Amino acid sequence: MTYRTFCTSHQLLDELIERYLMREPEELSGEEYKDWDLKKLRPVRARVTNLLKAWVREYMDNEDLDRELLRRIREFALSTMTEKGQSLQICKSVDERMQGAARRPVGNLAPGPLPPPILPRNLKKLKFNDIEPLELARQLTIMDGRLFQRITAQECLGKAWPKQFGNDAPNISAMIDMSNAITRWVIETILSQVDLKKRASIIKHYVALAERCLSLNNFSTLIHIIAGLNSTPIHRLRRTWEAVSQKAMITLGALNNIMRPDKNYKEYRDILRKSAPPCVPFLGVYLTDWTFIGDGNADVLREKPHQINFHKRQKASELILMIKLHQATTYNLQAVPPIAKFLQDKLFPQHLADPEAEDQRLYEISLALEPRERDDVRLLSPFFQPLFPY
Amino acid sequence: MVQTVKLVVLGDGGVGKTALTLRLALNYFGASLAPSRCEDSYRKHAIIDGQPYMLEILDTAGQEEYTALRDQWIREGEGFLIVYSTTSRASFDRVERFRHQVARVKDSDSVPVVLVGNKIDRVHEREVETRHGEELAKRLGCAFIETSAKTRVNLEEAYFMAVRMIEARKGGTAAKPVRQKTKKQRKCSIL
Repeated sequence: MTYRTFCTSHQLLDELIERYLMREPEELSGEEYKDWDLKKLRPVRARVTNLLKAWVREYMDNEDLDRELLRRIREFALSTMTEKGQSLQICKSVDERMQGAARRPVGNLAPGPLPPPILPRNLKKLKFNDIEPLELARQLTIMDGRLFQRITAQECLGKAWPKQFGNDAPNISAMIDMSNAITRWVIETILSQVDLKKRASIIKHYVALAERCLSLNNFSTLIHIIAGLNSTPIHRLRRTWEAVSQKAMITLGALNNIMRPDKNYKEYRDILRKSAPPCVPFLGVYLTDWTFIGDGNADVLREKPHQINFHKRQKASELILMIKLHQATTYNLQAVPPIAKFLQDKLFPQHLADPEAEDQRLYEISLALEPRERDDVRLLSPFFQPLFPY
Repeated sequence: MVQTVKLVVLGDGGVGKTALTLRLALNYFGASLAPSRCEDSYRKHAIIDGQPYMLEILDTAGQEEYTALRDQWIREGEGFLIVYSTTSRASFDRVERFRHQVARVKDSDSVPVVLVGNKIDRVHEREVETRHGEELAKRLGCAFIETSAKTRVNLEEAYFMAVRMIEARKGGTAAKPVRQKTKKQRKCSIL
């Protein structure tokens, strides 16, 4: 899975063929030769064969299928391989790939019947508070889940080996954009209400939405809704928070604990490990892991620089397998176009300033809604507010 | 009693944040490790000025594009290391934004922040002079240090500096317990 970090596909094939055609050591007696054939040559050939089979079937991306490589594998199987049955199997797989038979582009659908959508009374003029939180969570899950499905192993490897694979990761970036958009949307919606009570009720609605995301195992949307509620412009609205019901506060507290970044998101990792598919994981944790694998491990062994550090590759492929496992099952949910469009418009409005100016704008709205109180001012700087010596 | 101190490492991608954290916690560079399994890569026992501490380090390397999550990370921390690479002018230019964000989230300009210029082992690639770092730190009200994760120069010192700043600040507030109390209460009512 990670061979591209140290050689090309053709180099790998060359090495495999060479291994297959290994010579017997010189000066072997008849008896010894038999022994060697049984204990060394056959197992080695079997392993090479299995590897080739798995390679062709499972590990070639449909996007960059190398036809020349497949042709070479086929030729090798036909002309050189001794096991006819195995050789034919490989040829069959190669032919399938050549014809572009997509192996498994879509994952298994989650079991169970398709849940009927819960629609608000008026689909023409949608308002955030009128849409059932569970349905909002479902639509967001469809969007976020789709983005997550598109992420390729190649992109992930690029995060640990940026030099070999380049930093281009369009699908990862798309998912991050979506995440940042969710947080911005949460902040914007809350701040759009001038009335304190209405703000509080929107917060409550978002807490309910976050809770539904958790029940759907959509950790990605969950963490970014929480991030919105915890962002500075919202977090500082003390009066608004006082108007939020106790029940919602308790729920939010529990959700906060799950997604806390403490100890490298330990709580979240534990829950993710136990959760049943399908799910949308929070990508950020993987990105940190990729960086750690990439920066924390040498490419070659320190004492023997001519040897490849396979431990690093193993860590990387474990992580890819984990991501693939989460991608393997897709949600069984029905899209509701009006709600999806409503969300799309809110998440990605047409005229948006650059993120930094946007942050500043939202912060200023927050200040205007609930200006700093005396208490806040007292906490201000010793450098800039010498009137209050610290 | 061992006191736990939460430090957050901020900075652009590629400035060597990860190396800085890993080298501190694990005392080696470039060797193998399994970060996701190993909580200890984020914790470090240290004796600073005769006092035992447990440093908990939040390093969100790789997640630089998640701008929306930064507020939350910052809120978790008591002290901050803003890291730039002395070999990258661009990373230095972004320091001020991180500093600004810390001040805003904490609603205070006196939060302990150490400005860290990393990668000084790459002498020939240097783009940011020491005095420029010093000047910026002074202007932003931060402490300043230059480090190399690779050669371990000032590695521990950078973290210890942050801890000392936190201590100094606590000492300052301890004299005014009333204020500390109101601040704590506020935190509870919101979270």
